[in-house]
Amino acid sequence: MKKIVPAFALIAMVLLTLSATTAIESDSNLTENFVTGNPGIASINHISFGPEGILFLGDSKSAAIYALNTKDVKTAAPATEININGFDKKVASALGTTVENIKITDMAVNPISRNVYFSVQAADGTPVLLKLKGEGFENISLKDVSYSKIELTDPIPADAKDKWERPLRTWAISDLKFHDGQVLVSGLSNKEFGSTFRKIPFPFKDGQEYASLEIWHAAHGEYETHAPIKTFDVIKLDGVDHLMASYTCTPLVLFPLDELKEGKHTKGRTVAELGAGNSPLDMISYEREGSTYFLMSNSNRPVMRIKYDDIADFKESLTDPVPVFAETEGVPYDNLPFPYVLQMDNLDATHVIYLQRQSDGDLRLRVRTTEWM
Amino acid sequence: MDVVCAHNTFKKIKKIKWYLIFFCSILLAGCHEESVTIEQVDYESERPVGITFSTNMDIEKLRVFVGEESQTSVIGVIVGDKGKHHFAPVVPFTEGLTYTFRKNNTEVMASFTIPKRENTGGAELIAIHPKVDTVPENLLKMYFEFAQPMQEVQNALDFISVVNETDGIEIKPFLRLESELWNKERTVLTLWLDPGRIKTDLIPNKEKGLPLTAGKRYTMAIDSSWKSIQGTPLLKKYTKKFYVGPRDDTMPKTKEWQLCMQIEDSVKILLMDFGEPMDAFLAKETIRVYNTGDRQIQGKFNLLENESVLRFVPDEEWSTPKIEVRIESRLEDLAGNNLNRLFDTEVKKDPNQRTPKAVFRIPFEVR
Repeated sequence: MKKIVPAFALIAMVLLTLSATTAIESDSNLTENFVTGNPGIASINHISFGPEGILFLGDSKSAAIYALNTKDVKTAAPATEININGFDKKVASALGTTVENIKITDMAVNPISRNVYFSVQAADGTPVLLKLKGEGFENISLKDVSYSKIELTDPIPADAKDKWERPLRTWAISDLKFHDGQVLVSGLSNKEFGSTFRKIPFPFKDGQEYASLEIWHAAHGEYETHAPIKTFDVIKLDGVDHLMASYTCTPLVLFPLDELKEGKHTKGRTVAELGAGNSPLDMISYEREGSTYFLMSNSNRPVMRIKYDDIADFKESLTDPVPVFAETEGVPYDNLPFPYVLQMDNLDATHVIYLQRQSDGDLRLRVRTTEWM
Repeated sequence: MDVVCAHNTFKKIKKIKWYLIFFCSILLAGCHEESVTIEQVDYESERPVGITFSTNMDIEKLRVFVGEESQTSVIGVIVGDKGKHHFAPVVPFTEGLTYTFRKNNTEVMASFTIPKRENTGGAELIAIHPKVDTVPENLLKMYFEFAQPMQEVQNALDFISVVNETDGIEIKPFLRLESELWNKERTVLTLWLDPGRIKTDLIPNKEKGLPLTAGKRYTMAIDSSWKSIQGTPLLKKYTKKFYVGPRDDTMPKTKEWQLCMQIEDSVKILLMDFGEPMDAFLAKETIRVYNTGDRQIQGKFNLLENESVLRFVPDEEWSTPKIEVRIESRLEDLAGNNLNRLFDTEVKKDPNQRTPKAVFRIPFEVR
């Protein structure tokens, strides 16, 4: 009997260890309608992880969003010592070409496995999805994969009799994120100018809601209906989810998410003017010592850090012009000493991974603890 | 005894034999040098999608690299057996580049260069829309139409320059987007003239003014180094000269359009004169013709007179004398004014704004 107890204990320990380190089993039905095969992905403009290792891909060429089951669901500690110089050159070499023949379009971290994924477009049009492995890469097949797909439909004329065949419209997908059972997509059409924001329930069915967004731009006394969202995040204010959208030149605007509905022009509340002559690139959030912060990378300014409490406390809406070039108004922010950050994501709760162009032109992939951000 | 002796002798010979076999094996092994021989570059749809090679090596030890310096091996799949193998990279090989097969990532075993294809005429820019020589001051967008799919990587604006000839200065009128607006075939590029600068009183408008100024002459140049997907540069440097006229602050009015029939080769053709140039792509996709039975009449559309006249040739003879032209309200003129609203307007409270309609209709009689 004495021998049996330790044996059981050992087995129990092994089982516990296995359950803690191996794949997360899920009884959800998120992948129930997935099929396996070649989804026909034509381009990858943006990528973002959802639950259970599902990666969402925005394909502007096909005007579609794909959900890929990466099956990358083994929990692991992140590699926090990443510091890779000449990153674009490495990607190009791995794809058998030179750096002028590739474009790294996005980066996303799998929140379960902590693996870092990159979407790359080759000059010949081949879309590629790579997973970082040490200082090398693993190619994730886009031709034989478990997936589901939804096309970004056009607003259809109200008169059903007048629906007719139209050439496929291109949507330049400017950002994409999964939030609370929905894929949120901002985009811009190649035909009629106008920013559209979509909420697509996941698992994909037929429905999707799109909304035209108006912002109150601080530089003039009119509503701006057509500015394209460059990047966005979701922020909960007074218990209500808000879309926090950033635009070129660089207003930060809040829209209650549940008010973004089809056919409804929704007016946003501008809470910050973060400076003209700039375009936002990426936005993430993290928590430190009980406070939430947002980070926003920019084309012509360093990474900005904005405190959640400052946004929550700002109850006004900016309506007056900012008279001096590049001056800022509204919610305060800090400039972090990281210029030219092109891509960012949370590696884990305490680390951020980012792609940064150095002053000598080198593209570097680095990890930094949020303690120093 | 003899037998024993014979047996001993046999045992000695057997021993020598094994020594000989061992020695020869060593010798043969020494002679059997590892090698990789390039057989051919494999093409699919004229793209170099792989390389066929033969080797006596364990292929697990072999990797393909770009040139001799790169430390990152090319990702790909090796298939094959009996010494003949095929390596397919994730992305087709790049023309003009030299690749090496390396043993254990270091020792170069073989190399191959992907030949550059002969320039078969080059890529071609078919048209720049609008085609008209005089554009409104608040021109909203331009389309660039190519004969071949164009490359995916560099920003299109790196190849397009615009000079204000009147003042002798280079300008940057277009909105730069991370995700460019190409059609799926990557043959048509849409470029927006920065809408923030066109809309009155927006920050970009106040800071920089309109992208184009009335009364000035401009030359747009498209650099010949812009390549197609196949890596072929444009045939030549293309230029378009245009003059900027006054602002267009009026919505297209379908009631003022002139419709008429014209007979060509005994076929009755419908001509719709807009009275002004319209968006070249929207004009062809937002206008349709219906007969009295509410059936859409199939046919071909093309634009004439600098995109100010739409020509419709029905596939079959007109079945009814009465027809109806239906126009989706999203049709725009060159300034982005559609059938329901001006581009530069406040959606919230425009007293002159028409009640929005999805479709506008023009009845017409075929004679």
